[in-house]
Amino acid sequence: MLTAKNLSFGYTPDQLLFSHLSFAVRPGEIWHLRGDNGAGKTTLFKGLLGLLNLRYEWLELTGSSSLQHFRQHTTYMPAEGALGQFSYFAAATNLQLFTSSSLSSPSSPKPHLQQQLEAWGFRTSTLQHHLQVRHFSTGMRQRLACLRTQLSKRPLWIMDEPTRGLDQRGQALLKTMILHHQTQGGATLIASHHQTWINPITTHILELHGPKCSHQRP
Amino acid sequence: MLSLLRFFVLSMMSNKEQVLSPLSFGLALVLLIAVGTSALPADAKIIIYPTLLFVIGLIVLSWMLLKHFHTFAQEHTLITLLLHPFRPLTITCAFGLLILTINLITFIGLGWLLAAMLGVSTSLGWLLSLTACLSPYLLGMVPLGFLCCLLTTITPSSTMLFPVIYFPLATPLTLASIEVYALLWQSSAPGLDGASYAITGPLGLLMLLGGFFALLSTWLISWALTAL
Repeated sequence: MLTAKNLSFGYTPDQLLFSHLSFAVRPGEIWHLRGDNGAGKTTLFKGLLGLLNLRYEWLELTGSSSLQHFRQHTTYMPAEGALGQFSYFAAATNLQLFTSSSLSSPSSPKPHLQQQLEAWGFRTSTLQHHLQVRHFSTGMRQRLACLRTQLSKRPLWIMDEPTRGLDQRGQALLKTMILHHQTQGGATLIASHHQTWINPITTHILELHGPKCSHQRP
Repeated sequence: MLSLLRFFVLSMMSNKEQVLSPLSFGLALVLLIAVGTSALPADAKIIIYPTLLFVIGLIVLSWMLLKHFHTFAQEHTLITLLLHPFRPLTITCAFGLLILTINLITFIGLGWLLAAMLGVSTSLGWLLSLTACLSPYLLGMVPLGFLCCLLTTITPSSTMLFPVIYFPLATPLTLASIEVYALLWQSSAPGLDGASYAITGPLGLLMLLGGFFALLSTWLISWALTAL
């Protein structure tokens, strides 16, 4: 699904965050991207999405190397809550905007957003009053980001610290969501320091430690 | 494109002060200066009012763009839209079209107000000529403002840097518009010699400048958004 060969990035040419990083993510795999703070996990994600000028020999997603194709087939759930959400809109409006031109098949039924939001723990009063997302807590914003990812129907999910701010129930819902995505043939790349949550679902580990990187199975 | 346009309209409706505060400022300023200069003779007003309209219009447009881009930067709106994924050109066109429409309506409103104070007859023909004069101006100014905002809002001193870059670049287009607009008024204002004024030349120059800035800025915006 995702093939990367010899990825390198550094904010200055003599100080590379990582170099010669190669990996191949196949459908149904869940990759755990590990590394200390500042190792370059978020940088790698942003580079893959074309937000940073990553150097590479080969980068391909589902048979195409075009950036637009990459973005069309990827859902990015960033660590910063504000990125990927429109704070001045209500939760349902945010989801409607993101699903309005998503790549889901036109024949597939439109998801019942209200029910989905309630399933993710949004109170009916919050939804009825169209509370703007900027008034949400970190956890609620994260739940909304999870639901947006779930509804995106894209084959590759990239998640940066997805459990940030989530309570136990939210973490369980997120885990179920990722495992369901796996059964549907989707792949997920996750950067997380939450070992006890991620270890049981990980199929591959990519470790970033300085310019050298290692790839292992859990 | 349509879904993006809808998004920007919704965004403005959720954050109304971004549009309402510059508009009310522009209206108040036009009224204050127009009332303050009401005692001046018509031939003096014919020079002052078009300048007044375009200078205030430029401030309103700049203010509106800066407010929007400040929110865009805070909310990561443009990056989110790029990742959605929308193409840089589509984002530029949708946002530019909306700002252009709002400013066209504002300019026509303010122009009509000033014309009424000057005693110029405001027929449908006058309105169409005014729209024809304003369209190339805004077509050049809006993408140029978009580009300058994009380049400056990522810096900590954007509110200071923006006018330093934008206003000098906007000057030729603004001057050409003032000239065309003044000629338009002179041809329909009462109490003047009624001579035939050659509007075609200045209007052609205005269209040329507007088109040049529109094309150049749109191309550069696509590049700048890609490098965001």
